[in-house]
Amino acid sequence: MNINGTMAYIEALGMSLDEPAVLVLCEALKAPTMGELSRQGFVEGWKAMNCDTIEKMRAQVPDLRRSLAHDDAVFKRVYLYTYTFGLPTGQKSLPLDTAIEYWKLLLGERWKSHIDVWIEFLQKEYKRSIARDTWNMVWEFVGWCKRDPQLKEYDTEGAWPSILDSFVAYYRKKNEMDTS
Amino acid sequence: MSLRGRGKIRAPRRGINTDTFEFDDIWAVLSQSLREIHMKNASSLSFEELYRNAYKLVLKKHGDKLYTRVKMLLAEHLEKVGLEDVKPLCPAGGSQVAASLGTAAIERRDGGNRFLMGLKNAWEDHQVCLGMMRDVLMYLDRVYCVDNKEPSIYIAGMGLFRDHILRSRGNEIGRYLNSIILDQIQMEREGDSIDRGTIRSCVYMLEGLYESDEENENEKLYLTSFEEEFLQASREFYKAEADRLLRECDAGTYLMKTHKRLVEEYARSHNTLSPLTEAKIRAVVEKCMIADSIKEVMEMEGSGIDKMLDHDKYDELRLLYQLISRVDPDKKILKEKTSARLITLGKEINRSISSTNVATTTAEAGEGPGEESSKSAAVAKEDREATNATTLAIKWVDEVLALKDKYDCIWQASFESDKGMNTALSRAFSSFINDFPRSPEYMSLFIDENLKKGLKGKTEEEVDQVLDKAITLFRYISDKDVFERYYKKHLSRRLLMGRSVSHDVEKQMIGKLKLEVGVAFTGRMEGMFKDMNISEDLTSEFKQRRAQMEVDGEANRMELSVHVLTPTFWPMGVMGGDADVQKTCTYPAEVDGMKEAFTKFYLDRHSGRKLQWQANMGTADVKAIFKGRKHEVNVSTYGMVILLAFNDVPIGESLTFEELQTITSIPDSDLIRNLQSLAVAPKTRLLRKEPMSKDIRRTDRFFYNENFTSKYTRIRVGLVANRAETEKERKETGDKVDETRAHQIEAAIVRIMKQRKLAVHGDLILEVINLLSNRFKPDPAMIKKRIESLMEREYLERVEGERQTYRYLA
Repeated sequence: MNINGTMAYIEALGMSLDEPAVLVLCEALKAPTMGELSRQGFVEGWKAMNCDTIEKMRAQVPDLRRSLAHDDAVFKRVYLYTYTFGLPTGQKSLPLDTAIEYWKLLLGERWKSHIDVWIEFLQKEYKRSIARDTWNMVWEFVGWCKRDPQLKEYDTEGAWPSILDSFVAYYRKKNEMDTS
Repeated sequence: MSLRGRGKIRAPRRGINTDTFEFDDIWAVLSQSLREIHMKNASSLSFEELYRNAYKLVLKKHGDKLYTRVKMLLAEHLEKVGLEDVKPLCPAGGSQVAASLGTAAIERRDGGNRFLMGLKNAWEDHQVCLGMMRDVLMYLDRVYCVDNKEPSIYIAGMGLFRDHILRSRGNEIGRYLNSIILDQIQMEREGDSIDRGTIRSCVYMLEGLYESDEENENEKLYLTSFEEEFLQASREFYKAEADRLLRECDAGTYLMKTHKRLVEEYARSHNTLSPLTEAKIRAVVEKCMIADSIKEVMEMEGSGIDKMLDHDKYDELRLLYQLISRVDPDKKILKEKTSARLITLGKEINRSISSTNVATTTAEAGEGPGEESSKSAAVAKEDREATNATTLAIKWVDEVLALKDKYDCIWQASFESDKGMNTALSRAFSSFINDFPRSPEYMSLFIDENLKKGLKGKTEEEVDQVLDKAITLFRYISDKDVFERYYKKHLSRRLLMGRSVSHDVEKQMIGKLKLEVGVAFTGRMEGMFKDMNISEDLTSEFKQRRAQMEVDGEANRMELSVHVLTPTFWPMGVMGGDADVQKTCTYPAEVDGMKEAFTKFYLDRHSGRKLQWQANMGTADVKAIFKGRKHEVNVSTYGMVILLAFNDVPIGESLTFEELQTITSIPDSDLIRNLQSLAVAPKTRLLRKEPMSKDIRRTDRFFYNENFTSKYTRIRVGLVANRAETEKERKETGDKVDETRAHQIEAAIVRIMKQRKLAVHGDLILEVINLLSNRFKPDPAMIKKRIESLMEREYLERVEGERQTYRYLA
């Protein structure tokens, strides 16, 4: 299915194009990239969900939405998948704007505490495309932020990617300036 | 006193009416005799009779009574002695003998001495008496005491002395004894003289008495009732003494006095008191005067350790070292302070050199505005900046070497060549040397200066020594790869410009560096020497060929010497200037002919190769006539081309900059530079310039300078020497170094991961640093970036679930 077909299909299922659950669906159907669905992925994916009619598929949609919100394993899978999904054809690295959009979509709620500063940092200072390792590590970083919201324990000599080192420096400086 | 000879012991006569026992009678006799002994009237006694009496009593099983009575007798006697003979000698003021004000030293000493003498006499008398009593009562000892496990009379007698003289009536005499001894010692410590002998005798007494009849070594009265009081008094004294000296003396004097006190107390424990106390009193002095105070001493203004180091006070430093070693075998504080001073001085050198550099360059900032001249002014400014910086570079190394010499001397003369100190000092050197970003470059320039041909003022051995010293400094540099880069550049210039003293010496130097760093350092440099040798052969062969061919006149008057460089061996951009600009040159016909001939000659031998002539890298010796005088001028190749252009210009006529450029095709900055050395530099104005300004403009006119004179026949128009880099050049070098380092770090990471397959982040970083330690110290952040780059290129990946661990992807 090409992009137009995919879009129509999604709408037919009762989903809006910019909702997160679309990603869940595409991950389940193993869409190779945004706007494409492969036959095999489509068939096998739906089979795994036991849906063979469009009504059953439509009924599945709330489940998809719910699993994203509540099932961490599903969320992680979908999150990691999203990088591949968002890559423009032929490119190895995700353009910054796309990344920001998807981050907002997926982490807007879960990472409310820091995501705005993160985006600000990316736009003001980093300004480059996003590597896969960065994308992946951000999810772990979200977990870290829950435990250490002030980012006091963060160790720049550790195995975190250097983009996060820069972010933490930015964050800390911003904090200092705000409190002084 | 004499006893009539000891007779044989005869068995008691049996059958005498001894059952009605005469204990009391016998005892009366005995006790009277004992009293006589006490009164030193022993000569009238019969040993044999006394002995027999005692013997009888013991045999009759009255040993216990005898024993008890003897003890009582002794006790009474001793009490009497104590009260009548000794106590009266106690000085007024009770047991507080601390010098009451107004008591003159002599009185104090003599009064104390009288007491001690009295006690000593009492003691000695007692010993003598006991000796005699022991002889008389020997049978009692051997039979009764042994059977009943009682201490012998002698030992019991000792205990009685302790109890009835020293400790009678609440310990008074004993206490007096301590106080008086301590007072005497206090006097001696304050500088008065005292009678040590009597004190010693009393100490012997204390050593000979024990707490109990078991006479345990660690229960000597000396230890249990004297020593601790002595040590406590000493502590107080020395604490006060340390305070006083800190207030009144400078550091050196403090140390001397401390040393003297240690010697004094050592002597005291051997001459006056007991060797048992030696270690303990030493510990007291060491604690009060060294451990607790030495930091303050070292920090004293005007005389502390900084001054000692600065003024090479070897003796004071040695004393300091020895004293500190007593309390801290590691000498931590000494290491700290010495290192700190060294680093301060080192950083001061760094700072003064840096600021001079800045001052010189900013001083020239106010020259030559205006657009056209700005380019040439910039070039001139850069050259001047660099030349000044070169002098500074050598100055920096000289000063650092001087500092090293100074501290080496101190280390040997005062610190006993202690290994630990050496390590601390090395670290200090490393610290400030690497704090200075230009140190690798400056080191290389320094070595360059000493490897030049015809170095004035130094013999070969001196140069050798200097170079060895340079090697020791080299060890401290952590950015060894930066040093290598500069060294190669400077070396290649030395070789190409013929400035090197000799190939052998160069190779020796490289050998020494190799020893420090390993083979990687010298790999390519061998290639340079090879090229030089081959070039020599080529040049002479070419010359021979030309001679054989008998080529016509003009061309034959020229001699050509060629250096053929294999690009991989030589650092490119060696001759400076913009690397991107093509080094074009239009050679004069005669020169060109020669050039072509050589090219043909070379390519005949090595077909398939390409020769690229580097016009900016050569030199030429040009014969020139000025004012009828012949000179030989050594110029750069470009300079030669410029000069020869004037052969076609009649005297009095000129060429403009533009015209020169058209004729010679020399690029802008090179042309400017060369014209500056030929027409502006004061001693080598072979060309006359109009206008006479310092900068070169495109409209300037150049004439053959018919008025040129020089007292030398051989003139060198200096152009390219090894010099320090300008800020701009340094940044370029820095960038190149970073690029190379990035590759080396990646290679190291790959090598390590290939072997390990898995590695934790921290471990990987450490191993990379370790692997590259011989060349430079990589920054962990940089290593991290390289890891990320390798991850992107799929050489590595993170292990699922373990963020910290990486896996090697084959």
